[in-house]
Amino acid sequence: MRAFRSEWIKLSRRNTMLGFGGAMVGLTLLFTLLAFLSVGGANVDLDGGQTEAFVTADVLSLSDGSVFAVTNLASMLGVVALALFASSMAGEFNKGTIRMLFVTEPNRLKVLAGKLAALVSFVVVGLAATMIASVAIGALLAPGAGVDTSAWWTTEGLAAIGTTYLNITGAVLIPGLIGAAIAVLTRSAAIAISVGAAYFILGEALIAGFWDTLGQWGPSAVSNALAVGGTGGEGMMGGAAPVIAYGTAAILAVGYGIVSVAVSSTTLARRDVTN
Amino acid sequence: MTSIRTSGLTKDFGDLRAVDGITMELPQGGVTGFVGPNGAGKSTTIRMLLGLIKPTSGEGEILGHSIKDPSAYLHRVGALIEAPAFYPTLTGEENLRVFARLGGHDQHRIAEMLQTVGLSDRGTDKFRTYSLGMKQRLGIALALLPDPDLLVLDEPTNGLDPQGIVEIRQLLMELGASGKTVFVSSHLLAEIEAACDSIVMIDQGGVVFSGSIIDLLNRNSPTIRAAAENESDTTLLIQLATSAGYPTKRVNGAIEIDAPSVWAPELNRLAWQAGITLRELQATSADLEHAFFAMTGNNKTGTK
Repeated sequence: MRAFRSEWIKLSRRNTMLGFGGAMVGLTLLFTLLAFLSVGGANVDLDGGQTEAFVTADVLSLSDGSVFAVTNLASMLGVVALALFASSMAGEFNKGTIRMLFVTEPNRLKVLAGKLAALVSFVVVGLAATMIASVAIGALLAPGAGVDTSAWWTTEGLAAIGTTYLNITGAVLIPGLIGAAIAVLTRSAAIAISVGAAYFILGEALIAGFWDTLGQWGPSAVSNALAVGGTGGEGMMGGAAPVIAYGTAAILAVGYGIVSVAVSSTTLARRDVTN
Repeated sequence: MTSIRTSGLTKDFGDLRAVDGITMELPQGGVTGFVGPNGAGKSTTIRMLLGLIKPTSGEGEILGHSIKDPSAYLHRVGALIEAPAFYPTLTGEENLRVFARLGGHDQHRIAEMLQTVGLSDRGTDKFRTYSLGMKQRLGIALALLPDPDLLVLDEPTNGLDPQGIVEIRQLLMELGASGKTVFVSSHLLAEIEAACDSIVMIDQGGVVFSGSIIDLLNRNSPTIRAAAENESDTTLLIQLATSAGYPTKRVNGAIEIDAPSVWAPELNRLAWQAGITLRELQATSADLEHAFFAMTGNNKTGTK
């Protein structure tokens, strides 16, 4: 608990709030705005032909239309979380503060647990703010875009908001925890963020071209599947729908989280602090 | 009772032996200096004592507890390890609060410690705006935060101005006199000599002396430094000293004679009788710097 409260002093500084919190809320608001402004528009294909844009008034008028923007941005929010976790963990090595943390609290696992708990709570709070802001701005823009929001406020609509919040939180924490593990291993924020972000944005999809299994069961695929609700959900950004079921994705997400925390804790506990 | 005791403490980094069987014992209370050339193993030893680095072999005890269990004693230890490391975008006060919360220390001591190190008027400024000396002071404030029984400070006067050095020296001496144990490493040998009661001197990973500073100084004889006006007379000057039974060596156009200071007038007389005019004649009492170079076998320019 002491490590958790100590970490929050760092997280509550303006730079972190504006940088990472602002990125989460800002990205979602931007996408929400673009989604509502593009209703009724068309995609222009490479051959000059036009197809209907995947954002339509009908889609946004569904009971889960309020969370359309957040759901489709889950992978980007995951990268923001990865950057937050990685910079926070690796920053302790870069600045040399890790040695003072471990002299002040010699139980390294307590330091790690408090730090990760604080980062998770930051993301949980940040995502709540993000969803509230996205739903609110969507409700404001809906009349102008011809979107009927009556289904948003039904029991089914409110349940969709709650479920999506839980799913997105899980989906975003997978890259976050993996980013923390890479940061502990490499002790470099730059390496951890670039390697982690490259993997989640592009790397896994590229490798999946040669190895199908990774494209279906890898951390990025699992994160996306969790965000859209498994096999029943639409693909993110109009892409391919996930091939693994929601329950499987949830179990795998927990598994990736446990492995990441195990790697971080084992490395921290065993390695000499020479920074 | 001892505050720090080590026996054969050794640390290897791959093929490199950084610390080679350090054995030392520090009593409780007082100020002990920890000196050695760069790369001698001081920081590695300090990190082993603080549980940051696991020894390859050997044993150690801090305040009666094995260094294998840092949780048992670190709450009674304050430390400053190498350059002070803090969060640049937090203020000095917020930085101390981060560690006070983590360690469960009394938050009210933050203002008190900032005042102790002379930072009370800059506590609300961001750490990144601090000068090196101010950063060092904040590091010392952090080390004092838990009201420790043992204070381990690695180069605490780095970057401080002369006034700051004197203030920190006085602080360390007061802490030592109050019954706390202060273990301080420094490159400033004059500072160690002025502030410390005892000393641990290491070189190439091993202890070359451990004991009181007075004992160390008594082991090292004083010297007389002399230089002839005409450099061609230097050889004759050496013969005069050697004939009197004192070993000599040439140092930058002068000679250094291992002889008591009372022999300096006699040398002056002998030189005058031999027709040598001296342009320099200086009796040097033994000090820590001379003792250090004598014990480590390094001269000033040869120090790593």
